[in-house]
Amino acid sequence: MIRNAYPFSAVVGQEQVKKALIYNMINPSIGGILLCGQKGTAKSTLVRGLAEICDQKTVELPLNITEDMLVGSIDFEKAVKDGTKVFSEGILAKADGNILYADEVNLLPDSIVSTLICTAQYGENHVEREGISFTHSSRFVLIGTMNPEEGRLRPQFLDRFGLYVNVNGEEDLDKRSEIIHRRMEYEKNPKKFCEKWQKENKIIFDKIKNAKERILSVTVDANIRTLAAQYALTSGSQGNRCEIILIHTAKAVAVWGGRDYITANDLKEAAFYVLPHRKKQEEETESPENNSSNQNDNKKENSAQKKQNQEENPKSQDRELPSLKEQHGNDGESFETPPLENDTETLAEEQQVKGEVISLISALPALPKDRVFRQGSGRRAKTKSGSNKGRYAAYTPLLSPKSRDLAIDATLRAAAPYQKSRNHNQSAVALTNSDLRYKVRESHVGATIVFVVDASGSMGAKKRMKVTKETILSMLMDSYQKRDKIGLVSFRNKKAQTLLEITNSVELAQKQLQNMSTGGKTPLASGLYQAWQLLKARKLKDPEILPMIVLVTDGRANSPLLSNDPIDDALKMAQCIHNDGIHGVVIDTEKEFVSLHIAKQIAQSMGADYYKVDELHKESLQSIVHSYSQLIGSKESIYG
Amino acid sequence: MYIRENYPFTAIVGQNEMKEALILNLINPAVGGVLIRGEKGTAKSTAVRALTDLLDEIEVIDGCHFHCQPDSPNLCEECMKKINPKTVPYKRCVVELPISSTEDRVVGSLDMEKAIKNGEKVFEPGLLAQANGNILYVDEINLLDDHIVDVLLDSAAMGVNTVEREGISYSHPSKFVLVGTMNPEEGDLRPQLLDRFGLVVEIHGEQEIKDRSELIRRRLEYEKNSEDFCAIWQSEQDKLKKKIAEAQEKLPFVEIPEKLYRDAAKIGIALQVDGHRADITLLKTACTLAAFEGVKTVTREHLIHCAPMVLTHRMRRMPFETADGLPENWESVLDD
Repeated sequence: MIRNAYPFSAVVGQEQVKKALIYNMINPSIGGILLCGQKGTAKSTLVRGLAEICDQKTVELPLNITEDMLVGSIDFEKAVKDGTKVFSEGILAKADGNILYADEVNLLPDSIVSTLICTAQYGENHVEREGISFTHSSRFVLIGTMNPEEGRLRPQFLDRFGLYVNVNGEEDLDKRSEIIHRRMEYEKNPKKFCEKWQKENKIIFDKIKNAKERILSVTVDANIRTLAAQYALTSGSQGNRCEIILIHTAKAVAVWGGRDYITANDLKEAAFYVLPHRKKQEEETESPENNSSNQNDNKKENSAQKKQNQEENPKSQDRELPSLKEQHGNDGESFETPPLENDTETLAEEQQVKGEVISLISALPALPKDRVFRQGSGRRAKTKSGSNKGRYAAYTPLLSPKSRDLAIDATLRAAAPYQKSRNHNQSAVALTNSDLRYKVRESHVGATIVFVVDASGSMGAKKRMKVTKETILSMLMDSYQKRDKIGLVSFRNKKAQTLLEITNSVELAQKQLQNMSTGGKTPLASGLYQAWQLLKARKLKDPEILPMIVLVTDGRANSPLLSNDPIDDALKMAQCIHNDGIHGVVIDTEKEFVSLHIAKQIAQSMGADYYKVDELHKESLQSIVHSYSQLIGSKESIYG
Repeated sequence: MYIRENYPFTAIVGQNEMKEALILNLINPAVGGVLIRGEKGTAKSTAVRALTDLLDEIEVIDGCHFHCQPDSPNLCEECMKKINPKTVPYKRCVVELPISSTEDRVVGSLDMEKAIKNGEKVFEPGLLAQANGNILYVDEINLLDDHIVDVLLDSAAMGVNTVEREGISYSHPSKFVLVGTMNPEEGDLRPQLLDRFGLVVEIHGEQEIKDRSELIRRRLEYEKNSEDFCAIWQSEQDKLKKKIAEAQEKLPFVEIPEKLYRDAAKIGIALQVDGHRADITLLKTACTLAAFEGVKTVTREHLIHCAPMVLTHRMRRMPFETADGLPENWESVLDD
């Protein structure tokens, strides 16, 4: 379809991506590559340019794909017209022996991802559906691109990608202007531009072809095997796939470098591509301030490293991925956070309350790369949608009151095998009730979450408010990726205030949060009441929502709503919320010498999950956001 | 009462930035579409719908669902097979994508009637087919269902719609100018989709009493008798159409001084935009502006003029950072 794609060789820079792609072309056993990075960094361009430099075809996996088109199904046209049962190939068949390219791979429907994982595992596609039983080989190089801002990949799926490259834009002025140059030239006359670069492409093509022929003769000596195992071990990756892929990749590196044996440096280079997404990560521990200063450092390092890299200095490799380095440190040694004040004195304190304490400090959630973070965390964004909204992902013979959307293609396929034996009344296809199939749609059903934030004087202590805001920010970030709808209520002095009606704009919520004023009494009950009203109104409009309240408070209620007892009022409101089936999370920020544990009581009345924030403890915020993310995920699966 | 004539584009009072962004896209679709952000009642939709009357007539291959142009590098499979195809005139138009659209209507699906009547598997083109070569307009684009956004992203980037669903495996050209309007109060766009827009303009209601009263006068006149109103504005419309056509002719010959490539790159680096799409779009937009102004060479001033439209939405921000952060003094960014 796409003629005159931008030539691979004409892409400026991006050497890592190019190499990783080439290694995969040389040795398909590596098992594909995931390109992760910002928008507009030639990720897709490079992949689409591949067809010109190797003899494999690129099969695209579009986001609108349905299950039957992935695995293949009965050809209903043939069945109806000739009465023959013929298997109509799906993408997995077309991809056999080729490149399977999934752009925006993190946006694929869950059911599709599961099928992909299974197929990639066995190298064959086993179809049992619609009267068809068929197995065919399906070995492909899986190439995925994604923008981490848009959400994460399931760890299982992540592991299926042999290599991983973090793609960044070029920062060098000359390179950058050259990029504009070439692109404008290309757009003016794609055909001419491609012809101009054909020679360069051919050189790479030949080199790959040559390398491919030699790949089998690469020897792997025992030392290298041991070294590979060591790499895998220190990285803490799960299973043994890691070292095998390391060897496969190192082989490709070696032949590309013109050797028929693997050197330690080859392995080192391989590790740079193989390990990032498999490493077991230290919990992330950074505050935003560190983050920004790190970024600056990285920029400087980056340019310095580029030079180093040219000299093939293996040491530079781990450092070339700034954001990854932040997360898991160099070669096994853990990354140390600059100590925060009050660090030592809290340690003892923390141990006393262990078990209940989920401690945290600042920082936005990590990029979606660490395994610890994701484990078991369901993608709450996706549930089977009951209504007729969402993406058509599969079908069912069961008519439920919710799904009345006829899947005409599936119905036809179901009817196809029986066409010969049935009585046709004029029409080409004879359908009976038992043939009918209905669409199962999958949609992002995010939760509708109202954050209720205590802005009273007791929370006003500068540090505490900072921690509170940072906590909520992290949750908002998570909510963005899950496409939740959010509202924001704050309470102080005598009343609660809706800072943000329920919207899908996380950014607006953040803005409001930043400008939130603090001070005064603590009308906790009013805050809860307001949130309750917001959610109830919303539920009238859209009965399908998954309502949640996240209450952030120190629990020191001192301004009543109805009676004279502020705490009792709050507890009663909590009970009301509980009775309405609204899920809750209470985040307790109390940090007094004498704890009153009111927030905990409220959590109990609300039937809410309870977390205590310790503002002084310097462990990662991840855990709380993670639990929160998981929690909502699990709540939703009950609903879905 | 249903008014048949669109409100004339040239009769819109003020909103110059929006008008300019739209015109630049008409001249050069490669600018990559425009997103108009603004409050209610600021003539956003009026302006976009009015584009219909400014669009030109082109020659397309007869009988093609996707109105392929014979000299296009991006033909559909059927047209590729045709030798010396017959062409028919085709008036380009604004294709609207309502936010309630379902996926099958957007990307296209199995033709139900043919499937049941004849047992045939035929692709029924959707909105993305209609949009090929045209303007695709999404009102309230920030409220669009997520999975529709996903499929839009796919086509908007590649100019090709690949369909793998409901027994149909098909792909066809779908190159369109994406125009979206939204009210930011209702929530924002996903960054990924935002990046697909070449330009973003922020608009506000006119604040001058003089302009506002002129606006009322014209609107009332239009509502009273739209035919007469359009007739009065016809000469203005023709003038603009002519200017656009001339700009289109000049565009390929606009000279780009070597230092402007560097300037575009400098701006991209200084503002820390994501990736390289911004740099490229910036220069392209500046060239288009030069063509519209009828000058031979694109200058640094053109670049600076276009920068806010191209860059504001692309600047690398921490996930929730605000403020537009454009430099006050461009020269300081550009001078070594």
